[in-house]
Amino acid sequence: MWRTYLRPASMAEALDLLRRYAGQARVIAGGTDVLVELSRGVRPTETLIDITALTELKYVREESGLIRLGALATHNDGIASPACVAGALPLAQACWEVGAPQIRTRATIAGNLVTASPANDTIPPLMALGAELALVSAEGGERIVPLAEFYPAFRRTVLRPDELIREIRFPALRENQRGIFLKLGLRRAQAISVIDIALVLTFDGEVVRDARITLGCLAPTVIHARTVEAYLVGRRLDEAVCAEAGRRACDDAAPIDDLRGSAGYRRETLAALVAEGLRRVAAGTQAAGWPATPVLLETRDTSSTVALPFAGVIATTINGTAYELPGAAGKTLLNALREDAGLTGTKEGCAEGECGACTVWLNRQTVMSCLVPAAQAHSGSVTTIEGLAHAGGAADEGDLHPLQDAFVACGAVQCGFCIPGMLMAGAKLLDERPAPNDEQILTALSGNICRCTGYRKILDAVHAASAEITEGGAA
Amino acid sequence: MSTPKTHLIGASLPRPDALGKVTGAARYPADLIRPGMLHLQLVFAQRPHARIVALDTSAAEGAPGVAAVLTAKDVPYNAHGLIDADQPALCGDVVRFEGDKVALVVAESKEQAEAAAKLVAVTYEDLPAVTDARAALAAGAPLVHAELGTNLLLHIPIRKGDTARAFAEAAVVLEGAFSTSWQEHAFLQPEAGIAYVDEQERVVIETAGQWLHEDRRQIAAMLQLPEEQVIVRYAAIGGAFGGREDLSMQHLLALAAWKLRRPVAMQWKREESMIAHHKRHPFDIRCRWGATREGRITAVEAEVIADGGAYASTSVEVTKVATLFASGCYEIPNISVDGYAVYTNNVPCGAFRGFGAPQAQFAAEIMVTRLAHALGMDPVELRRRNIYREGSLEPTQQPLPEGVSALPVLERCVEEARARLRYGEPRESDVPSAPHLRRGIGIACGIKNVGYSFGYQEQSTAKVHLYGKAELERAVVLIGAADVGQGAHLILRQIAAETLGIALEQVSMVTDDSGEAPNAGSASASRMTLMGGRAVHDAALAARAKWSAAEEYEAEAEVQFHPPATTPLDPMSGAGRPNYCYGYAAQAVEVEVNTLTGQVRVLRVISVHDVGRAINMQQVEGQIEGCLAQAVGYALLEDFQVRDGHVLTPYFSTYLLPTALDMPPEIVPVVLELADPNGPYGARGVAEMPLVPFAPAVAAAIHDATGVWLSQQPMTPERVLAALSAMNGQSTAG
Ligand code: FES
Ligand code: FES
Repeated sequence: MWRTYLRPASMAEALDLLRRYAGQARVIAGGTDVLVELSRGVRPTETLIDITALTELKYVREESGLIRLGALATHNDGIASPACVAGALPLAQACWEVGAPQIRTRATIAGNLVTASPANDTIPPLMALGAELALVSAEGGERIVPLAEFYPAFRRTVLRPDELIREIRFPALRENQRGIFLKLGLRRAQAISVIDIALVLTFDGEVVRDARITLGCLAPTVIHARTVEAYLVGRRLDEAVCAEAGRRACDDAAPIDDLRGSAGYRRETLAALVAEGLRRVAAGTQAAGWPATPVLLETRDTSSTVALPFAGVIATTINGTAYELPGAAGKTLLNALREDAGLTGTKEGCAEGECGACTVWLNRQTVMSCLVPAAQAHSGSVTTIEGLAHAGGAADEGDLHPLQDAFVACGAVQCGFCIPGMLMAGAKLLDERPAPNDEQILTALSGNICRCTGYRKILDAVHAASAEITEGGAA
Repeated sequence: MSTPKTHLIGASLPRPDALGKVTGAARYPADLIRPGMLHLQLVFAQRPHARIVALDTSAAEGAPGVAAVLTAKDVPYNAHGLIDADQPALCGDVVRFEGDKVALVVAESKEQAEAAAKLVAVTYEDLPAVTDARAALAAGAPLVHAELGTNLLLHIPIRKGDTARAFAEAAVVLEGAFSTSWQEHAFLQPEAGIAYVDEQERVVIETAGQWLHEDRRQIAAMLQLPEEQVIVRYAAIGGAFGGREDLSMQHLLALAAWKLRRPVAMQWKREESMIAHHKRHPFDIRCRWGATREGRITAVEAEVIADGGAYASTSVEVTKVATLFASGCYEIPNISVDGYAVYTNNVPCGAFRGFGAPQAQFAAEIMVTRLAHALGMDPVELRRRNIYREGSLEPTQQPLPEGVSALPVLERCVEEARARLRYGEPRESDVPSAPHLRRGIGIACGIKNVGYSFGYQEQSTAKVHLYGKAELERAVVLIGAADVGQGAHLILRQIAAETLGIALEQVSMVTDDSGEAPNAGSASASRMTLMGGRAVHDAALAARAKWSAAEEYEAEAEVQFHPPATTPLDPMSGAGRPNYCYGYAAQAVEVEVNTLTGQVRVLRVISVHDVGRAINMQQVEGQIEGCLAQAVGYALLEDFQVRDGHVLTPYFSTYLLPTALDMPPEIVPVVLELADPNGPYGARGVAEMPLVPFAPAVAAAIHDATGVWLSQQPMTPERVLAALSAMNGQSTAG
């Protein structure tokens, strides 16, 4: 899909490469959007510039009332950051609703902004929060662009070919501000929005002093519902006002028909969603349903691995064994594992991050290997299904990870094609929390499609393995 | 049947194949690809209907790494199909749907094959396409197969009694119009495989499928080789659900290997799989039902039209099944149903779990509940009064095959629904905190044949070898039965061990090679446990008898099992004996409807099935739970969108499957064991049954919750909201 893979070690080097390639290269971090686009021939390129070695850009922090997200902050970083949950709940909620866990480990919020689809979930909350972007380039230095001015047209941004988003920042919500993000999807996980909205309201007591309401999938770009914003100022959010605001929101929207829904359906549900959001903000229940400890499927670890320079030959550790993969720099990790390392236990079911069959662990994170450039495993470590037993502490040849045993015993395996990915996600969950409840298990496995089992025996198996692990640990 | 010694029958033994599947060691078709193999890339038509004016492969042939570009002229006999051989392997003159194949590029690497495929230059003259089944039947419609002179593939009438009189005398007559959409199998393993010519000049294809011997028959015919010269072997199969019953790429692998005399490999991308293999048929059903005041359903009239797509596949059989079940599982004295299978320029349709039964009974079961409401009667009571009993006459005027358990299945379902869902009790407010969330309960029944129907020569063959000294030490069971994930190999092994009175470990299975194992028939129609199981059972008994009589330390027996014969349907009246066994199901579901968004969540499901005898209870539950996931998708979520012959949803990001979070939090599979007279140890099939009543049960639950009836499957949020708005007299227009 690409020929040249560049992995600059510093910001200066990255900006220099961007300048030299002058629009001929694409920047990649998590890769979850870029690889899907490339496989479909969207914005094709021969050259990828991977900025993941610039680890100084991976942060979410609050400084004197300002929340700052570095370019490499992932959706999981947004979810796991107390500052973000407290000071930017709508953003945290949006991050939680994006993709599957294996996507959230890798997908960056900045990348979501650059993809520039009106369906990208983090845009409405960031816009409602009044975010601005720090864009950098070798020649222009740094400039600040409000997110509201970032999208001139459908799927277009003002980002120049030689520019990079360095930081996203916005004021944290204050005492008298409350916000919420709501999304309508066609299924309960991994769904691209039919519509989504973010609300950020500032109160004087119970009276709305300022309202920012942004709408996704309701116009060519994410927009503000200006009529409603104006309508709400000076009002109390009683039932009639919430309902009226919902109705008025339709005047601000200009939706279209697409595969996920008609324009009419979008308008009708918009009214319901806006009213619902306002009711919840009024009642102070905007955070209802937010998980106390969200499932992340990654081992949170601040010790950054020092990435060795990449010069075309991938040197990596897979299941504890060192591999050199000279022909794999232009491939996905999935293909490199299957074709170059000869490890065919990892499966391809969709090659677009939608089925989870290709799930492996890369540097402590659970990832969809079909959306990872193989070169990102350079100087890193990969665990696949073939290494799961060992990673789970199996001492002897032939011993299995407790979850593998439980899958066999519980009848959780039918055709088996989803099972390697399912096990890699499930085993990471058990690492993260040895005694998960139903909801945590289902969330952890929501990126893994099984067409055979109906998931019930898989759920049983995770519980059984959990009992084995926790009791085994206690004994 | 023999008296069961039940230590292995019913036991939830773990599956031997699971070990390889949890360690990554199991080899699926794509895992067989080795360095040095040639790679194949197809050139698809990507247009619904066109004449091929010119086909220039020279640029592709000259591209780096290309070994050959095969086209129609390279195919010895260019037609295949399960029933009618009407589908070209590679199209030479006309393409009839967007997934039709026009050229096969063979190159040293996958990337080279893909690149060269883009260089194949095809000049088309687009022809008018017909993409609606009713329009295809209209006079002057474009013809999908011009040489046939019609788009009508089948018309089958079923006539019983006198519907005109019955409607005239009925106290209540209701009309209904229903439509169902395509469904994609979405087995998780996309089609893949390898092929080569072995040292004995046999072409060997290693892939996935549902019926070794049928694949072999069609491939041998295409290559014009004796069947013995074609070996089909199945690797681990990543799901099938009917979707691997037709040839997809098996024959093309064989063609390339045979022509080039080198090992070849092909692996489809998901989007290739989506556009190229057949789907579940969309149906358009219009019907009229009549009943007496006392709750006797007296008349059913229906028109049942299936969009068969561009090629015949099994459309004729699917349509017959749907026609037979248009009146559900009820004994109705007066029936007049016309079933039509129609060619269009849409994706071909064929087998998919349920095989016409879910579509027909979506309409039938909704009509029964509506009739009950119109009569002021409990929907369960109306069912009870009309449901099939032992000796009931089918629409085809013959008594049902023995072992009719529709009523006990329904009664058990009602019992469970009362206990678990408080079915029948007045409900308090649904979700007090959220008035827009409304809950409701629905019940529906279902019937589906087990095994092949309508006079097909149904058989299954197994061979058993026994070895030992003083004692019987081990057995080898040979049966060419596909384990598509459902666990057939363990079931057959349990039956063999039980019948022989030895341990499971003493039985080994030879199942995956068409040259070694005899023909079990397909892994479809919920038939393998009954048919394959009975063949293994009978062969084991025969071998055991020989063993006892023999001096040698070896015995062998091969048995071909035939179930009671069925007959074709009479072309004028549909009269006949369509099937030798049925499975019966009933379900109760509870849903929660969001009246602001139209979203429907299934909260609880009770799924009751008569399986005759569970050979392995864990596997039976697995079939019920897994089938329910597909039923959830079918009823609510899976929206295969096609416009003007183009599939708009070829990706998993656009064709949404249920995730773990979309499943009902509570699923109660209930298994009854009312022995079937023919099945091994009384077993009958179950794999398809949960899909049959589910969608109408959900529709009834939505109605119970909100008062609206949905008549289009899938019942997407948008459709639900539109129905609610229509009821409230609001406009849905934006
Ligand atoms: S998610 Fe990677 S293959 Fe489906
Ligand atoms: S076991 Fe077949 S897809 Fe999960």
